[in-house]
Amino acid sequence: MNYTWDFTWVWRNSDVLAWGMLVTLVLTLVTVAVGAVIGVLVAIMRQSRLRPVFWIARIYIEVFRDLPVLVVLIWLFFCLPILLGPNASIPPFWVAVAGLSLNFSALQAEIIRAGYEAIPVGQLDAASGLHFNRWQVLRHIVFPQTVWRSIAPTLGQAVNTLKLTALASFICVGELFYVTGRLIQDTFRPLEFYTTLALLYLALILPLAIFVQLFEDRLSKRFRHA
Amino acid sequence: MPDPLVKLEGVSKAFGDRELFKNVDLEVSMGEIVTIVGPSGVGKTTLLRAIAGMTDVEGQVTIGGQPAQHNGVTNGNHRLCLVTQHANLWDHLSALDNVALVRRLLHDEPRRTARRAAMRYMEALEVGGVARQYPHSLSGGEQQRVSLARGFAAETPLLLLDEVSSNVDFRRRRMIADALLDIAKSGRSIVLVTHDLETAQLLRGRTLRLTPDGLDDLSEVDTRVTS
Ligand SMILES: Nc1ncnc2c1ncn2[C@@H]1O[C@H](COP(=O)(O)OP(=O)(O)OP(=O)(O)O)[C@@H](O)[C@H]1O
Ligand SMILES: [Mg+2]
Repeated sequence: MNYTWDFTWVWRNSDVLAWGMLVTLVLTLVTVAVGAVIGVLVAIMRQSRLRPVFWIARIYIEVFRDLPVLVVLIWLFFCLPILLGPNASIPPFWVAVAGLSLNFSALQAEIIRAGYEAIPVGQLDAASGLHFNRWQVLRHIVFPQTVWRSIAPTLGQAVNTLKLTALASFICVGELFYVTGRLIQDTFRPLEFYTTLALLYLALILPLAIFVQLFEDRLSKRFRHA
Repeated sequence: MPDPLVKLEGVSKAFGDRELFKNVDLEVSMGEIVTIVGPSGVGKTTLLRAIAGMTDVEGQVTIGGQPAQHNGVTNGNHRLCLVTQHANLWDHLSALDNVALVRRLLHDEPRRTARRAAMRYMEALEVGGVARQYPHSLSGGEQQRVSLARGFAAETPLLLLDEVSSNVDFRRRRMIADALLDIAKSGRSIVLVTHDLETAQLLRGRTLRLTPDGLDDLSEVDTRVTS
C-alpha cells in the first residue's frame, strides 16, 4: 500500500463541498419543520374519536414509517410525474422534502403519542380532583408534558433524518453525498473525498447527537416515569 | 339548622359484580371535620371520589343541595377539591408552580400573585424551602405536603383528603392537624380518610368507620361504652 494521499483536491473544491453541506442542512431543516407540523396533525388525528379520521392517521403512520425512504423517494420522483401528466415537474429538492417528511412525520406522530401516553394517570387525576376543567387540564398539564416528553426523541429523529438526506442523491439533489460523487467522477480521488465526506457528516452530526444526549439525561430525571 | 354541606343517602358502589359498600349515609355540616377510617381495600378512596363526583354510585350525593357531578365546573364555582392518596405532583412544574397553578386556574390570579399565595401555603406546611425544586427531587413526605398545599390553595368550602399524612413524621402530623383545625374554624368542611388514629383524635371531630354495610360512628360507640 503506497497510495499518496493528496488532500489539495479536496481543498480546491471546498466551495462545492460547502455548498453540498448547506443543501444537506437546509434539506434537513425544511424536512423537520414540514414533518413536525404534519406529525402533530397526524398525532392529533390519531387520538380522534371519529373512526375515519383515526384510521386515516393509523394507516398513514403505519405505511410511512414502514416504507423504506429510498423507495418513497424513487416513487415520488419517477412515478408521480407520470401520473400527474406530461407537464408536471417538481424540483428534486422538493421531492426529497416530501419523501423525507412523509417518513419523519409518521415517526414524529408516534413520538408524540408515546409522550402523551407516558403521562402518569395520577397526575391527571390530581387535576380532576381540583376540578380543573378539560381545557385547563389540556392546556396546563397534557400539552406541556407531552411537549417535554417528546423533545429529546424528536431531536434524535431529526439527526436520523440528517443521515437519510444522503438518499436524496439518488434523485439528483445536490446535497453533500451527491456533490462528493460528482467531484470523484471529475478528479478520480475517491479516497480523499469519501474520507472527507465521512468527516463532514461527523462534524454535522456529532455536536447534535451529544446535545440530544445531554438534553435527554437532564430530562429523564425529571420525567422519571417516561 | 342549616342544610348540611354534604349529604349522602343510601349510597352504594359496586365494580361489576363485586359490591364494595352499601347503605352509606353521611351528613357533613359547615366547619365540621369528619374522619373516615377502615381497613385497606374497603373503599375509602372510592367513597371520597364518589363525594367528589369522580365516580358513579347508586344513591344520592348532594353538595350544598346540588347533586355532585364532575362536569368541568368553571372558575368561581368550585365547591370542593380532593387531595389524592398519592401526591401525584405535576412533573413539569416546580413545587411552587404546582401550588401556584391551582391559584391561577381556580382563583384567576396572575402568575406573581399566585406564586406569592402559593408560597404562604407551602411555608405553613414547611415546604417553603423546597419550593424551587422539581417533584422528582423531593422526598415522599415533602411531595405529600406539596400536594396538600395544592388542596389548601384551592380554598374550596369542602376539602376531601385521602391519607395526606401517611408519609409524614409525628411532629408534622400535629402541624397538619392544626392547619386543618384552622380551616374548619373558618367555616370550611373537611372529610379526611386516614389509617392514623392519632390524627383522628387530634382533630376532635366525628370518626366514622367504613364497612361493607355502611358507615359506623365510632365516636358514638365510644361514648356508649364509657358512659
Ligand atoms: N376502577 C376500579 N375498577 C375495579 N375495581 C376497583 C377500581 N377502583 C378500586 N377498585 C377496587 O375497590 C376496592 C376499594 O378500593 P379503594 O381504593 O377505595 O380502597 P381504600 O379503602 O381506599 O384502600 P386503601 O386504604 O388501601 O387506600 C379495592 O379492592 C380495589 O381493587
Ligand atoms: Mg385509599
